[in-house]
Amino acid sequence: MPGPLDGIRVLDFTRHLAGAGSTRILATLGAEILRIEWPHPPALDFLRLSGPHAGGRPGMNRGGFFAQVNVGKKSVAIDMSTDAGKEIARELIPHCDVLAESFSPGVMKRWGLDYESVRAIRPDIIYLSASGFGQTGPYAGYRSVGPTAQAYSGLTASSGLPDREPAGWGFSYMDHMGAVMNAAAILMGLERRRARGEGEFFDAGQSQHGCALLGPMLLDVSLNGAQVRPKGNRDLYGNFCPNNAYRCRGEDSWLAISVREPSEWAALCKTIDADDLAARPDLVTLAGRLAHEDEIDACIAAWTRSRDAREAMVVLQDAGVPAGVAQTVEDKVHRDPQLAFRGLYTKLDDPVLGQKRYEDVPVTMSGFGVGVSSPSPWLGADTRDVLRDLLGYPEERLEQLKAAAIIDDAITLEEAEAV
Amino acid sequence: MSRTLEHLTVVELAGPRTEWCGKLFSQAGARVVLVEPPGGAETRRYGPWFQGQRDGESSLHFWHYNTDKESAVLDLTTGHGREAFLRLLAEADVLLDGSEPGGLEGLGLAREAIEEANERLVHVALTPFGQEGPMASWLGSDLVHQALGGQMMMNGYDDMPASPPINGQGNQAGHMAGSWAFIAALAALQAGKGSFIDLSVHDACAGMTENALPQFDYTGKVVTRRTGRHASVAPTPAWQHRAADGRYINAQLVNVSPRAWEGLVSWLDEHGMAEDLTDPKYFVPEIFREEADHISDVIGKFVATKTADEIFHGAQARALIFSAILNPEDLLDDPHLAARDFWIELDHGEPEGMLRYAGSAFVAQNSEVRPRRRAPRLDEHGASVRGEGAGR
Repeated sequence: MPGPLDGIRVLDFTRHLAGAGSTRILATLGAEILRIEWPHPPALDFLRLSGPHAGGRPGMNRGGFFAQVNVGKKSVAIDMSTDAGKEIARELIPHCDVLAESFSPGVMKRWGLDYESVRAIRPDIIYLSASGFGQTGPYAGYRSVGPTAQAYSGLTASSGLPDREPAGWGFSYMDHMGAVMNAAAILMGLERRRARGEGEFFDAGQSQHGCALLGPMLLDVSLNGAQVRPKGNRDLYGNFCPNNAYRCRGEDSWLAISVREPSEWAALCKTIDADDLAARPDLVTLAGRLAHEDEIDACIAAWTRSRDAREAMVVLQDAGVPAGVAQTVEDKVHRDPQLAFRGLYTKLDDPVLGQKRYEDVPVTMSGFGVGVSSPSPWLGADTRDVLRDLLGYPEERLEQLKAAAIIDDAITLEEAEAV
Repeated sequence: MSRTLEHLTVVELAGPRTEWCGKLFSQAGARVVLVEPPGGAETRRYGPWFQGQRDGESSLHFWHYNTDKESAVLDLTTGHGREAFLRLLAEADVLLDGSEPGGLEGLGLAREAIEEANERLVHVALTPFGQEGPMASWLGSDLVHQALGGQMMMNGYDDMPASPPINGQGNQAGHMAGSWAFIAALAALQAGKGSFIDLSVHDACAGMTENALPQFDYTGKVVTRRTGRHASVAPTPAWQHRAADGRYINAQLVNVSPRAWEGLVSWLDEHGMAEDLTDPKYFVPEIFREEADHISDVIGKFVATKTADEIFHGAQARALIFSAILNPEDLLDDPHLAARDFWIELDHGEPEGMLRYAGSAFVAQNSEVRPRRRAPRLDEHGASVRGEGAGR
């Protein structure tokens, strides 16, 4: 069954997770993604060189993280530093609905592929420029990766234990959410084009998206003059109590419990045999519990400490209390029956990488086929097919371009292993 | 200027799970009708509160997530309420439904009845764990979802024994799931036919932990949390340092180019604080890696002599990807956000007047994606939405 974006074609100059993650999302929804890349900067995606590597041996087509971010795409290897290479890219534009790029501001303009130039060729193009701080403003030239954006936006400072340095985020959350927001921008553009037939340009800054994701903290600082400081795992605004991670039996094993409703509180007290807490009328309300949060936390922790986290979670959920084990990736892959039921981890086979797991989409959509279906492309795997099928290049021209090192391809396993 | 999605109509059943997706639509100009139960949406009772006023019209949580929306109270437990709801759906493009699995069916609003009202409707159902499966009836929260999703076990402290994994703040489980709901709904609209979208918040969170899955799948190893930096299999040097003004700096030293390294070392050297980093041996990647803790120490000592802003801008001028770790309130007078018109004012009428809000992070050239109107008071648009007085 085709995906909802079947028939949408993307000319993809994005790299890394914040950029290339957005076109991954479009690919899982059925769009055709043409990655324009090259084995050397500036069109090289450094993610191709990152670990972990299949068999522990580096190589352009051996990177596990690159593979994760680029499932379901096509790779067209063009040397964009040559005039002939730029001309091929320009020839592809009329065939594409979307152009997405995540270079430093200025690179696409140098190549003659900025929005104004591209829309002169394809007026209804949806064009996304994704960068760290956006194309304009005093920090437009600043460099950013996920942790930079998290630090700048306040996401890092707001997460941690009280009176300690920030714990921040232990991974590039804003690379994921940058990718998600970039995909959302492209889809807004496509939806507007569907209604009005017009193109659109989006100037996306990963750091600015981070700021917008502070949630209600934004109004707390702007309207209350609040200074937001971390409160560990307790709810920043007291909307849940108890709300914490409690130590369980075994090494570094933790259970998260959140309570808001009186029914949940009663069920929690009953499950952990806290008759004394259940009997206190002042603790039935959220405000009453917040006034005794230390005491309540100590009581729950005393119950969880001798218990297996997973068993405690099941007992609490069965009683109607929101509870969840703090899972590692190993837990998610091997011990989470719901993720297994919904098939979040899809296995795909690739001759170089072997059979590996890929994170699939969090949705099913009736009437559509969505999700991860084919592995990431070897560098240049689709160059010949795309230039032949879309642009009608004859075989001899492809040979000439390859001999002149303007395009490259990888057809055989041997060639894919060689780079 | 026109608004990007001004042609769309969205019906949102008020609830914590749908509100971010609803805001993504409403700030882009879609007409979003928030259907609230008698007594109002649950999140009208969420803090923080506007200047300490704890009432149903003063929740800043509600204000933040419901800009531009219309509010109509419909009691879906009554036939009258259900009829009005189905009439609304007949004219809508998207339904955002955060009810628990089977929740609407229990009210006599089975999926078939909704499809009958509008076969082209995109019905997005956001549930904690999906419509079916062994955990489908379980309950979630932001904390519970970031625990089960794997975010928490990657955040925390490795220099503090027995310290807990840490939840990222700001309602991020809701953002991860709500953003995906927005994407899936817009994708379905491209095909021009209706769809029932079953979104699991748990799936959305579990699928966003960067390199943890490839590390495990390729090496069998599990990453563990490190203070203020990436969770990793093996220990890594600190990259969070305290500046002279007490604020912290994120001084990540991954993929440092030779030019950036030269800039950093000469900067330290200007202040007589480069120690032995001027030695060209550090251009050798293996030595750079072996000496990472020492390099981190030298940078930490330098950071301690400057303000966070001096380090942030000085480092960026030298092509280093450092940032000051800003507190949320620091954004209020950040010059870059000001230049990009991040902050806006919305009219609350009397007595509050114009109040300062965050705009959106979407900057478009030919249309606009930004809030224009404060969140609705309870049932503010009820009469027109229900067709009262309109002869219907």
